[in-house]
Amino acid sequence: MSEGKKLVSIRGLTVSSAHRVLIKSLDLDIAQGELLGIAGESGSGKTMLMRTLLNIPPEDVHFKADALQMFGADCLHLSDTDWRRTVGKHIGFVPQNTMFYLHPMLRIRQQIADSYVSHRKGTLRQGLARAEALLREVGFDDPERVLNSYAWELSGGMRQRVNIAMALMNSPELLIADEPTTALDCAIQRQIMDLFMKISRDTGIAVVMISHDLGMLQQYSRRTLVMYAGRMVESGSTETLFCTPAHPYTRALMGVIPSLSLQAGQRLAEIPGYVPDSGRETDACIFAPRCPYAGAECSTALQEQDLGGGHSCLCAKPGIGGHDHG
Amino acid sequence: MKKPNWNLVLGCALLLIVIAACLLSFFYLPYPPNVMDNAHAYLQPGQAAGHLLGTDQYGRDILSRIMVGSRTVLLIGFVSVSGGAVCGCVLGASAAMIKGIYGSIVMRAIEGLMAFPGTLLALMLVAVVGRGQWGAILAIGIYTIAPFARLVYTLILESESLLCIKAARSFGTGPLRLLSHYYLPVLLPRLLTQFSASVGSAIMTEAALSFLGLGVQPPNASWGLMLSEAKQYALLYPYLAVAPGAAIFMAVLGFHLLSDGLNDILITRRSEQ
Amino acid sequence: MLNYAIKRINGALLVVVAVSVITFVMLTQISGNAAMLALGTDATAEQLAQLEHSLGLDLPWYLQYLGWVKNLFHLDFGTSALYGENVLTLVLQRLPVTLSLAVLSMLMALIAAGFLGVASAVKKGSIIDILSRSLMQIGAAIPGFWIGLIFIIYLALGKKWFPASGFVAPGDSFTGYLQSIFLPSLVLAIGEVGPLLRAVRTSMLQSLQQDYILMAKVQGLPAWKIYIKYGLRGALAAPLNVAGMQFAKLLGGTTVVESVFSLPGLGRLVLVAVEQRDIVLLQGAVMFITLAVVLISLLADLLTAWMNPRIRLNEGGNAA
Repeated sequence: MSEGKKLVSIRGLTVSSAHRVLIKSLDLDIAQGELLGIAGESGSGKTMLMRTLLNIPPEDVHFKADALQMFGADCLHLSDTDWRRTVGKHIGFVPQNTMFYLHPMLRIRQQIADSYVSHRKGTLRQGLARAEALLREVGFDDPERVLNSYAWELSGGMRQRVNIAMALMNSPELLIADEPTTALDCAIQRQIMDLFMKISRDTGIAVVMISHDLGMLQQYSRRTLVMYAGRMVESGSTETLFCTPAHPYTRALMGVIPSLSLQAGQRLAEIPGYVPDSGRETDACIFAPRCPYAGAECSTALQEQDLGGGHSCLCAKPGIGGHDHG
Repeated sequence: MKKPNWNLVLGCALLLIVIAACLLSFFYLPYPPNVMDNAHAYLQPGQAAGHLLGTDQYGRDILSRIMVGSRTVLLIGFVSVSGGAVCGCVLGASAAMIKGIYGSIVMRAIEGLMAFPGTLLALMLVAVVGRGQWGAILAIGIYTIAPFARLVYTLILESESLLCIKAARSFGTGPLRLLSHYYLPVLLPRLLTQFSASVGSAIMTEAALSFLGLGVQPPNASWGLMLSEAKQYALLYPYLAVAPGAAIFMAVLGFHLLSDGLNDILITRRSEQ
Repeated sequence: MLNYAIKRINGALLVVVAVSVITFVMLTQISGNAAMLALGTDATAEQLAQLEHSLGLDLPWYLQYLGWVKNLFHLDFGTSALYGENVLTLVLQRLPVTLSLAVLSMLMALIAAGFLGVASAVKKGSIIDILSRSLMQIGAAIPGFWIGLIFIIYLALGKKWFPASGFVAPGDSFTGYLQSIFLPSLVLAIGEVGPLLRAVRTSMLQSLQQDYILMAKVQGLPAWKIYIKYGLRGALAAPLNVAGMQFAKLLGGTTVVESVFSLPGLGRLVLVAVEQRDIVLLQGAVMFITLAVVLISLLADLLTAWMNPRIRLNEGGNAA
């Protein structure tokens, strides 16, 4: 992580609901200008992590952390309002579901400049001028028409572009995209991801992509984190991680990427069992019950293994049973 | 059950008081409710031993009259709502199952009944059937038909799309059997909550009619009538207005809370599962 | 929108037909012979027949009904036996009083319900939420004539802040006018605030669950913008519809309050008609009020539909 200053730094984050632990002692750093991918199945806690970071936890969900800093502010000691102001000022958020994040009763023009004006970047008129420029940048030829539309008059891809433009309004240093392409069809997915790359290249914004789609992360992210059952099981540069995955879960996950080289009649690989909902508070390996290589050492407390070059892994036997998946 | 159902607990407690007062009045009353005793008129509550809530302008014991009044109130509430509910259910169910011209005429009429605002329909009905206890019962009863008919009608139409009911239909299940075996379980919880809420509203309407001099006639005791009598002496003897108003409030609140409490256990919780 | 409006107007027309039939049949056919009522019991059979004929009472009921409806179209609501005046004139004379009560009480209820409803939804489970939910129950269960009586005793007769009864025309003294309708409006508002508050709270809670609220929070917008511009804007339809309905129904629901405060409004007119069995007056007044109710609720429906851009702009009008 030598890429520059840290925008976000989290140490020992534990998130729990009333009955159970959702995320256990997680560390995360986001550096300036980086392209970070966070991978995991649904239920792995990646969305919960994002919502904690943005301070929009679901009802009855609480967190503890040893440290949670972003943009020079210590969020553990900020009020909810101040934390959200920090988030709003520095982070652009691109949601998963494109439909309901824009207010259905308000035209785009009535909502797109709200954060711009609230954070005192300028007047409403300046905000709308900026919105127009940004809408042009994300690929609209006729921004005026988009501004005068309601969200439900736009197609999914168009809405996602509006969301992206809206996220860029305050010139954030970090974009967080939660499954940004899930609801879109393939061609649009590609366009949207290329748009993210272009924005990152042009402005140097850090982009965090949260996705279950490993293929997409392999293609677009520089660094990838793999989450499983509320834990960061492996992290490293995307290249290393995909070439020499060290955690059995990462390898299993890669085994389930549908690939064109699949032989006719060959079944898609799948990981037996389910992501566990309960018992996440254990110090032992959480993947052991589903792991083909699990042994006695897997039920003792785990330490993160540094494999060098920024590659680390939460496994008692890193690299076991490994062969390249390439 | 995690949290106590306060609506239900509080509603039952209030109604228990009202019903206990009503039952007790058949066996024991502190004083005869309709006997005038001018020597003891206008006794404030607690002023004279025995007259717990005081006496009215004719020296009648207010507590005794409240207790006797609870009979009238509960009688009118239950009889009128039961009648209205039965008629409403029959109309609503038949309209939903027969449909066609009959169904739409019935439902138009029901909508027409519902368009009359507030007490207007009850007032009009009193003009037709005449004042007095039975006039009030009939007026409130007819007033109650519409909400029940609409409830039953919409619930049946909604559940028609349920798979089990489609299946039952395809087996040639008759309409009566459909009603009793398939629709009733859906309807019953809703009808119970509606019934309780309607009794509350009926008590309120009865009190209003009696207050206006169109319901229960003197010398019989009804809480609304007691208030109406108290109105004339309100300036000098404000305590006269307290007890009957509080009694109406308790009874109406009790039935409404019971309705909400039943709704919590019978409908909301079930749909959450 | 157009389709929706046409559908809704059709429905309202059918309700008007149903209402007029119910009113007519109930009052003229069931309540007894109008000629007999007019002449008294000691009239001869010939006199009776003559009057029946001149009033058209010997015709079958549906012809009588059609005649009555035809008159309604010419704004002829009949002549009151009691006052000897045109029913419409009598109604219009008393309308301002009732309308004032309806408007002021609706304003009070809307302000209280709006404030408490939003606050209790935003701070669910807090003191203010518990307070609001208690108010919903208490407001609906408190008899208006009782609380009105208590207001008269303590605020009007005791403190002398308000007149105990009577109506002051706004032309004579505007403060006097406001004072004369304040207490009765407050009594009505207490009765109306419950359902309205419930509607605001429920619909606000729903709106706060929506993703656009998350988006507003993530953008670090100030609280009032999150809850009012985004939250309340998404929650307006249902409460406004309830308010429209309540306002309409108030036109015929003020009898008790007018009677407590001795106000010369529509409710009192109806009450006098009932007491004196002036069937023509009652019929005309009921018909007028109910027509107004149907019309106002129709307008309220169209307004809430129009406020939702999805319905306003969609020709189909079936979108949520």
